[in-house]
Amino acid sequence: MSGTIVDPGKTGAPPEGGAPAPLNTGDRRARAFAGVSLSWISGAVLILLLVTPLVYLLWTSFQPGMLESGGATLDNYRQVLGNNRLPQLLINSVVYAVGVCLVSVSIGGALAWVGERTNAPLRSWLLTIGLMPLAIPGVLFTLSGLLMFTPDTGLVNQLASQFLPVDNVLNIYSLPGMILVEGAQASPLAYLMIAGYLRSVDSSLEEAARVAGAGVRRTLRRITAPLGAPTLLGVLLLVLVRTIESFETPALIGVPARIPVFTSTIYLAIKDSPPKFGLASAYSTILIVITSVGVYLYGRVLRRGGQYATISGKGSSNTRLDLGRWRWAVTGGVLAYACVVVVLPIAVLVWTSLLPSFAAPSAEAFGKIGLQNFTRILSRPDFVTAVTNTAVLGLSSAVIVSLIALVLAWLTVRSKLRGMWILDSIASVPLVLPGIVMGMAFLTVALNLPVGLYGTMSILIMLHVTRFLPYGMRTASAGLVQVDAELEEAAAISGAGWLRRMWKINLPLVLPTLFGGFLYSALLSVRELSGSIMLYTVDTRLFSILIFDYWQNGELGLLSAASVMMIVVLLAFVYVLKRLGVLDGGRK
Amino acid sequence: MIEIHQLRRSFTARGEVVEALRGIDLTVPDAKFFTLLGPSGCGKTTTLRSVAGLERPDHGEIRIAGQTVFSATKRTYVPPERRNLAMVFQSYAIWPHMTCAQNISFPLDSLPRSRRPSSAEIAESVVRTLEAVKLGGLGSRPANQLSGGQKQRLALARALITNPSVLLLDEPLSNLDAGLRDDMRMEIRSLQRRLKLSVLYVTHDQAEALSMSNLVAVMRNGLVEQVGTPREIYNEPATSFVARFVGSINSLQAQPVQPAPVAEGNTVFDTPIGRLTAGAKTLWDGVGTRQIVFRPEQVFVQPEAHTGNEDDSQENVLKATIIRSVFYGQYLHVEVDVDGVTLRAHVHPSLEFRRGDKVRVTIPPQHVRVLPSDDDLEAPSTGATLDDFDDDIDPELRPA
Repeated sequence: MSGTIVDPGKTGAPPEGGAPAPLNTGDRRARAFAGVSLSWISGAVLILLLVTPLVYLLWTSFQPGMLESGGATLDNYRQVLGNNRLPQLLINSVVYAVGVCLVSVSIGGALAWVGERTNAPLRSWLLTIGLMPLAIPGVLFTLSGLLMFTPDTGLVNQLASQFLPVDNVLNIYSLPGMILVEGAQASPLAYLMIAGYLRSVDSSLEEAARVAGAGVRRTLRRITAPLGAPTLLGVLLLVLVRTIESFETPALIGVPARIPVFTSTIYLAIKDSPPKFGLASAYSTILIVITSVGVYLYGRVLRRGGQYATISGKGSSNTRLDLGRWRWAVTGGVLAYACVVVVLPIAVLVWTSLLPSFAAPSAEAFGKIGLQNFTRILSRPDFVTAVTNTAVLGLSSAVIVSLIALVLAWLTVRSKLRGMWILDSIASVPLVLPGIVMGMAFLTVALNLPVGLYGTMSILIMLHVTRFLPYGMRTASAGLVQVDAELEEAAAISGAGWLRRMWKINLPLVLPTLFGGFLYSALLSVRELSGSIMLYTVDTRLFSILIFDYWQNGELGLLSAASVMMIVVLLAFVYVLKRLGVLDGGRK
Repeated sequence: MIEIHQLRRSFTARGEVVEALRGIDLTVPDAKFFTLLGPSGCGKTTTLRSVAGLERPDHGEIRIAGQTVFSATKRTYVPPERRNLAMVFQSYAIWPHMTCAQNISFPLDSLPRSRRPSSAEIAESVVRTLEAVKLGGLGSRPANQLSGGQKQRLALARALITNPSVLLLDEPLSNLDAGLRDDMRMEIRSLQRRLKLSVLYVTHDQAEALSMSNLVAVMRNGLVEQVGTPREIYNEPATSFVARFVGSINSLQAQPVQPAPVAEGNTVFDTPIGRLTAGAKTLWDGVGTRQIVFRPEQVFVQPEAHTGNEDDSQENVLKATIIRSVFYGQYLHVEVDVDGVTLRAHVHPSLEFRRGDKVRVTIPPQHVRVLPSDDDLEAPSTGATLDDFDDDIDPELRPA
């Protein structure tokens, strides 16, 4: 009965034969795509991408320096722990991290409270304002901070000294300077989490306490604070981990100011000559332990927090505090904050990009305004190479992330195989790893595997795929969960094998969601600096690294011109992402 | 022909092991309409999905047309795409990103190159099949723009285009409204007859099962309770569960009268409402507890006066009082009290009763069956229960 079709409506005759076509149970090619082998392949890919670098990192941390010889040694750890600057390193790290926590939670918490629990005007804009710092890559934010607050030469410091009786508003080359710059960058995270909490907690819980006879203070102490404590603790831990992992501010400000923290110490060990790979690996291993403890505690806190059923879904029922005469003053404060963290940094970069040499605004400076930096940078081969590399890296890693993520999501969501959560957990590990540690781990792979990976785009692509796979996984799983499993089962019954089902049914149906993940992953890749900086060579320089280099060389005009172009591209990215999000909302 | 042998399957849900199938044995003969009937969670869908290859059982064997597609002992498992089956899903599973024509042609496009018809042949059969399911001219329409009934037809067309000999249907009519459901019932049945398909059909709707099937298997808690023709299932239920699930019943605890005054194969029992004669083929083996059951529509209720002074010693004639009567249009639902026990009867709608009316209840012996008592039908101390298949879920709701 091969290929013959009986019209089910017209013919009264039975189908020819009457028996189904023979089953080809021995087809080995088809069996190769059964879920079991697929999960083995994925497991192998994950191990290759993630476990190998970590193993090499650990191994390298026990190796002697380049010029010495010998077997495994504890020298590196001895050097880390016996270093007389270790106490200073720890104190710096703690002060820096705690300071950033306080700054970002204060800013984020205040914005969230104004937006969710007061009647301040224009509060509907608060989400946009609270998230704006995300649009500027960390390296550019830190650099614009430097352009503004470098002692004596920073634009804000120069302007302020003309009107105020102080020499400098702020010396950015200090721990407070680092804390302010990084704190402002971390504030969107705090804002998002606290606003989400305030939106979800039902104010009737507080009202019930009031009705039960508790005063305002007692309600705060017995109801509001205990309910909010897990959230606040969670925010603090997450910001703490993120700060310990941060690279841009410690490298750009901390290194010249001689305020080392862990990430900048790793960076310096590699930039030393000869490079101290073993020492950097030892520092990296210790850093992983520290952040893992933080993330573990965060998970514990999150689970505790989940016990309180505070989410009611009736956010609109929340009563808002009437600010009375202070309404506009509060809004004014919020707008001023937006100016300082978003408008000013971009304005400074734009201003600098238009001038042939760095100068404060003056009649003379205005006369020199022109596009010469832009024309200059567009003709520079290193710029063209960096843009090409960044585009290639961003696109290829995003494509690979999307494909691997789809397969992994299929395994965890659809295949009824046991233990698939393990794959999910392994793929999520990069969320815990600082970028510079991942870069370090991949560097040890590139140096030790005799495949010639060092200095190639491939190793950078591998790094970015691994780093951004968790984000791809989230979107792919979310997309696949929404697709009814019967759609795929119907294809299986129709005779379609695994590959055909993925290609013809799952991929087209998940595509809208998956494309969002693709763009997000590409966006992250374009912004990435801390991992790539460990792996790049002259040929594989990236956009973010180029800007970093221009800063080191004092090429402020080129740096600003490149930054302005990058921000434009990123804003376009964010715009498309937002539009896609809107589209997804209306689609089933 | 589909042969299912000793199928077992257990799931782990929230740390607890749930046995969905506890040893299923079934044979679906060629060109027959075979229905799996049972309440939700009885394992009927798991059985169907195991035949399709969408579930992998823990134990047992499945053969389709003589070829083993699953065997736990031989570690054989043929994936669904190579079982050459057709299936209609409960949600229809129409691919929303394709047109109607693309949906239908997918199974043909999925054939290995050696067996795949030419694209012209495929296009031609798509047009013909669309017309056959009354969707002619809609080939280029996006499939997600179809109505529920049209999607149902499209799903059927997609299942039939490869000319299968076995068709699996998983509650295909449960998402349709009542009128459309009756039409589709007849259509599916006549398609099955015309194409001589072996159909395995899953439903929880007893009317669907009885009206469409050649054979019905009633399932419960992962086991098959009874397999038989619709008439056998309805008239000769093997267990009180089957009796209750397919229709409604009156059931009474019963004691055989000793010595048994057996006459013409009938058995006489003492029940809480007096001595009753059971004439239907008995399934009770003579040991253990037992109950007698009879359906409400087989109970006759007549006004006392109407019967005059007939002989009271006639078999299975009881004096009763009307408790309640409810007019359903097609029949009159009557609840009567006999010695403190409530019985239900469905009588001709032309009759009229009032609460308190004295009546005479007749239960023809040929419709009285004896069944072993089963666990979930623990009789209250009065010795009688009234069971409609839809309220047996909550025992507390029963009249005590």
